[in-house]
Amino acid sequence: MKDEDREEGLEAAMERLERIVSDLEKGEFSLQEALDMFEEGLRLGKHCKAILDRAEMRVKKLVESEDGQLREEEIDREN
Amino acid sequence: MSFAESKLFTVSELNALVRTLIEDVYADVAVVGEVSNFKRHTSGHLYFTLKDADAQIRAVCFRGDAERLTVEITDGMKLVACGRLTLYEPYGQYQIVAREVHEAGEGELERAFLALKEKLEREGLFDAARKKPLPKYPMRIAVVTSPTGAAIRDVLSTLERRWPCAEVLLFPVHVQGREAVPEIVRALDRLPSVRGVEVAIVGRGGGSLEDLWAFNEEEVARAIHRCPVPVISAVGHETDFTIADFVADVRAATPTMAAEIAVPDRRDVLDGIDGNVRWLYAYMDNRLHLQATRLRELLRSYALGKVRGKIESSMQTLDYLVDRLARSIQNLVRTRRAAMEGTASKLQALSPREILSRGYTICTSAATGAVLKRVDEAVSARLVRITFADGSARGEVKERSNEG
Repeated sequence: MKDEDREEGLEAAMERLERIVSDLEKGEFSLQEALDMFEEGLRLGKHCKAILDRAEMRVKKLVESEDGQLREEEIDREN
Repeated sequence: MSFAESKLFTVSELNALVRTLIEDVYADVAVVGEVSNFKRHTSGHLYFTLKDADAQIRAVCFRGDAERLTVEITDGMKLVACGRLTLYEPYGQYQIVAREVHEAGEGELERAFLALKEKLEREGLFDAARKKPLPKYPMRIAVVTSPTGAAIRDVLSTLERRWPCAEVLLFPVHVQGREAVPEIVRALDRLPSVRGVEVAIVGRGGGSLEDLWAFNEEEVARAIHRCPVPVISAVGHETDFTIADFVADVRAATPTMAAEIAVPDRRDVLDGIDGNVRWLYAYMDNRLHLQATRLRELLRSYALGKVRGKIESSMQTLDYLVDRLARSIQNLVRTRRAAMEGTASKLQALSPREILSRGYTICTSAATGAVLKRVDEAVSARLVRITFADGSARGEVKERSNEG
């Protein structure tokens, strides 16, 4: 479960969070179900924020080698 | 043909017939002339006359097309209007319905541009229906441009400001000169084979019409068209339109704007998340209040000796839920301190302690302070502390009974 959490993409997590809110807004749920959704929503919010908190943008250059393969090469932003 | 043999039309019939003839034959024409009587109607449609030394024609450009024009039409201007001929039946006057209007006299490149544009448009390369939607939160963004130009600088600084969580892959290419077209085409064709690229920005900074020319070449247009990754074109300045812009999934006026279109602003997305999380807290608060109200009602009924079983299970549920909520809130303490404090205070109001004021007590061991939940524990503790809402009392267990 923990590994799945890490792998979950931002878009999917955002959509799920929005879905939870709109479902709760619309639907009738038992307190039990609502709590499950509430907790999942908090987890998703935290997960999305963790992704967004990556502070430094990575920039790579694609270099084509002689055999035609593309290689990703880190580039130094200062230059 | 004599008068008697002629087919007799009403005016309406004749105009309708002529209109059909004109529209069939001249569905696609370009006419050059000088503008006069230019009028922008409040509806957004443009009306003007095109004339030369000996003749004139009425022209109209409807709002949808007028909004896309890149020239500011004024009287006296020499224009090329491209569109279809039609007949305005109420006046029996024929006119051109201009889809596009360009300034005339811009020479060879301009003519080549218009010819290619028309050809590709006819083939459907610009159709809105085939434009691919952009990803909402792209995490890998390709940029096809010169590694040394102004465009890459602008794109990187904008992406970094708005969306630093993404990864940017630069496809370095020449954007002018002999190598430009084959390199841009090759980059676009190879782009889909790079793992996880969700959107591509293709372009360069401003320059002369000749400098931007690679982006007006058919091969580049076709490479953009067949690229399965959504492409944002970003060539030159606001007013530069290239063939690449028409065929791209989205046209950005400048490289900076391409970056703004490609990614959302991190702060907006964070605000959206916070809004949803706040809503969840408010929702849960509300639900728990409702539950507490229901419990209070049950307690009143209990006082009347009516619903013993129901209230006991309901209280147990509330205890369970309160514990569980408290746990989930503890997990969020670091990130959600402010929200937590609000909710925690609500939780306190709902805690079993409040129920003490309704006549329940908590019995703890006087020696260890442990809460005594079973009669056996009370017997073995012997000395006990009984906690009421407003204080506590010490006592000694004298006799055991198994009755509830």
